[in-house]
Formats: sequence, C-alpha cells, structure tokens
Amino acid sequence: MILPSDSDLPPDRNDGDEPSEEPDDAINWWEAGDDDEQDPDLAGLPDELDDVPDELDDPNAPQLQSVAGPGWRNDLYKDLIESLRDLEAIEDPDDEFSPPEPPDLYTFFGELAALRQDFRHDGQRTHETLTKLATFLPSAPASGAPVRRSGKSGMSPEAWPLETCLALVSTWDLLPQATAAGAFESSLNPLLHAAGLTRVPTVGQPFDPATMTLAGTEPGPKKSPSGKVLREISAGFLRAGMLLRPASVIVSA
Amino acid sequence: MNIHCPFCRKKVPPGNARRCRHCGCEVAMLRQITSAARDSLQLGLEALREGRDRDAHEFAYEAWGLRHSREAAAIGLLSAIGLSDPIEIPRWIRRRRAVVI
Repeated sequence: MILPSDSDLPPDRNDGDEPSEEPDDAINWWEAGDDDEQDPDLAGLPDELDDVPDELDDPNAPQLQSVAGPGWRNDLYKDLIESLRDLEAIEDPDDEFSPPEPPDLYTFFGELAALRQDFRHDGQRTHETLTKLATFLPSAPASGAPVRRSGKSGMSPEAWPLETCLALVSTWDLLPQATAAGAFESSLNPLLHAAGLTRVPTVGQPFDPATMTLAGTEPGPKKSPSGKVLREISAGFLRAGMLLRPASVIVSA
Repeated sequence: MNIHCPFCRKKVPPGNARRCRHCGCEVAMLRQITSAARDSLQLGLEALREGRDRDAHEFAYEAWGLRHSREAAAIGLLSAIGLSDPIEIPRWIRRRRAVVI
C-alpha cells in the first residue's frame, strides 16, 4: 500500500470550467487511477517500506531497554578485544589451506602404464636403430679408405706397437737435419720399415691436406706450378697404411 | 566413469579390451580399478540411503582411494554432514573442488 503525500492530491475529474476546491466525494483519490500505477517519485522505493509497522513511526512508542547492567557495551568491547588477543599466538594459515592429497590408485597405475608404454616405444626404436646399423656395417669397410687414414682401427698385424713407433719417430726428429738424409737415415730406414712405418712422400709432390700440414709458403722456381711441396719441415709417417703423423711442409706460392 | 588412455589420452571405449586400440597401452588394470571404485560408490549410496552414515563415509573413502571422482566426494561430503564431522566436511569440500572433470 502506498500512502499518499500532500502532493498526491486526487486528480480533478471535473473538467468543467470552474475548478472545485474540495474534491468530489464521489470520486476519491484512491479511485483516481489503476491500482498498479505508482507515483514516479515513489517508484524507486522498495515495497518493503509498506510493511513497516506503524509502532516504529510512533515517537510515543516505548523504547528498547537493555537487561544488562550499566556499561555493558564497554565490558563487551573489552572482552572481545581480550579474546582476540588470546588468539594471536595462533598463526594465520596460507591463502588457501590445502594439504597434499595422496594420489589415487587409478592415477598411480595410469602413470605406471604410461611409463611402460614409453619404455616399449624406446625399445622398439632401439631395435630399429640396431637393425639399421647391422645392415649398414657390412658395407662400411668398402668406404673405409678415408677412415683408415685417420682412424685407429684396422691395424696391420705386422705393425709395431704404437708407443714404439712414436719413439722411432721421435728418434728421427732428434737427428741433425744435415745428417738425417745421410748415414743415419740409411741405418734407420730398415728399422722404420720393420716397424711398419713409411715416410710420407712430400718434396715435389702436390700438397695433400690428408697427410700434410702447411707450415708456410714460399715463391717457387720459375715456371713451376703452385701448390707443390718445396721442402719438408718435419717428416710425416704412415703406420701400416694409416697416418701416424702428418708432414709439415713449405709449399710454393 | 570414463577411462582415458594414460599414454595417448584417447578415450577407451567400454568393453573387455586389455589395450588401447590407438597406442596399445595396457588399460586392463585401470578398468578393474574403475569397476572397484564404482562398486564402492554403489555401496556408499546404499548405506547413505539407509542412514548408515559411518559406513557410507568409509565406502566413500574407499572409492576415493581407488579413483578420485566427484561422486565419491559427494557421498563423502553427505556422509560427513550426516556424521556432523567438522574435520571431514571441509576435507570433502576441498576434494570435490580438486577433482578435474
């Protein structure tokens, strides 16, 4: 129910020339319009206002009285603060307290099955790789010439041990250059041959990066092609057909 | 409750197949666990309907241990409420929220 205010005078239904000061008794203000129509000024007010009991609006109504003693607000406030202080020793939890939940059996076996499947796939891949390797290996020695030059496998049974060969090469390096090509060389050559060592041919040969290292370049004689080995800084050796030490050479520019 | 292959994540159709038809991963054990969890849920529902909240709570725990599901969490929560257990109620609420649908 919406109570009328002073401005809610009942509409004047008398459309005559003389306005009447008193509303017509036959047409009351609550009969002026439709029951559902509401004053636009009161449209925003909630309907609950209609249910307010009339006693609260009455200034002469009896006031609420506390049954507690005097100062009960202060006592309650004091007790509340003290109670909160008693709880200060308890630590605050995290933002969202969620202890770890143990996994269920389904998840555990699922992980186990996935891991097993993963191992299965890895095993299959390993098997395929080994199968391919087994088919490749028999044909590998056919193209093994470059490998034999720098590799360490496929040794000839006639070759001496590697340490002995290296000692012989070091002995060769200790020879004076002037005499290396002379008497000592003639005496060492049979030993090198017995050890399976052969010298890398260098002087006069075209530069071969597989068996030689470039120590420098020099202008060669006239009308000689460039890239020829002019002289040898240190000798290179092959051991049973494999490169033991490259020769260090000077090449014509 | 559906079963998804733990390796390829594809849905495993119901039946007696022991392996996933997509990747060959073994799923027989997962099927048995799911079946056992479903039985526990059924027993928990019956206990809940008959007012045996303590039994319902235990069956819910059993089903939850076998496989985390919203059904198990719901039965656990209802039985914990029936038992007026102030510790288990928030636990089941957390578990229910943690279940990935």
